[in-house]
Amino acid sequence: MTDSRELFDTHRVRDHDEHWDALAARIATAATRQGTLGRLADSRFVWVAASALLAAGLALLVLPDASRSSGAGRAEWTQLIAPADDIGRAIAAPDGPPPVGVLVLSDRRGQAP
Amino acid sequence: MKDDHRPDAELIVDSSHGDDEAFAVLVRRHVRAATLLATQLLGDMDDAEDVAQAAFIIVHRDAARFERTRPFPPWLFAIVRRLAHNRRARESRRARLLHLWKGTGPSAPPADHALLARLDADAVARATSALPAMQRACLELVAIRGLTVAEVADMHGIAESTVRQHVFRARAALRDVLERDA
Repeated sequence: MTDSRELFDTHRVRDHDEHWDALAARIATAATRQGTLGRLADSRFVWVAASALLAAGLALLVLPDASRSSGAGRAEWTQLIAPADDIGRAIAAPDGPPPVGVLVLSDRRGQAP
Repeated sequence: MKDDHRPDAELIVDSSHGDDEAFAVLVRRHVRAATLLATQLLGDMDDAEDVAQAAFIIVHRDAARFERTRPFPPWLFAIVRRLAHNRRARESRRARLLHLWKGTGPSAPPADHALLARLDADAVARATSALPAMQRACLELVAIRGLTVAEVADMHGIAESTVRQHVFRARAALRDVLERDA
């Protein structure tokens, strides 16, 4: 029950529908946003997922650099995914651009009957 | 959204299941009364809107715990009253500290002007300021804001008959003063 010792008047209240519509929309948005954040904070799944992500990040930082950028491994992959024709292989396999001669010769070879 | 005629209990159950649209309808339906009540309790429109928002956030959070056999407004208004009471207590503590620090008193509450626009504002102000607080509050909500006696009873947590009595006495007192002035 209201403690009636001091009650104020409401003459400054903007009592029209547009105001109440806007206020209601603002309040509903704030409440649902807080509800979503609260549910996320309470969810065990979210905590597990966040922990897994953190662990993965730490693992990436801690793992030796060699295992991620081994030159041999990269060459193997390059060979594996290179196109089957000679030009494609010449472009994909070496580190630098292929010599023009290789391209011209292989092109001629491709045209020969 | 305005054409949603679902009862409060259904809206609140739906919001507890994540239906944000249902919650928005519930807020729109009760935001005016909740804010008017908070304004009467706090005297400041911005504070009142903050309290109304905080009350609806609690409603949203605790929607699953709401007993759907009970009416929704008394629950909401009880939350508004509690939050307003806490805020006033905090404000008065702060005012006391400020008073001790600066040696000045807390600011006076806003004067009770403007009750019925069509009547002489000064006479009405004099008459209403002389009314007991709850009589003035009930009269204002029923006569000026157009709320029902039942709504006002829920808002202030008092019986409907008490609201009627407050309104009746306030009207009688106002009439006396205004007739005397005329």
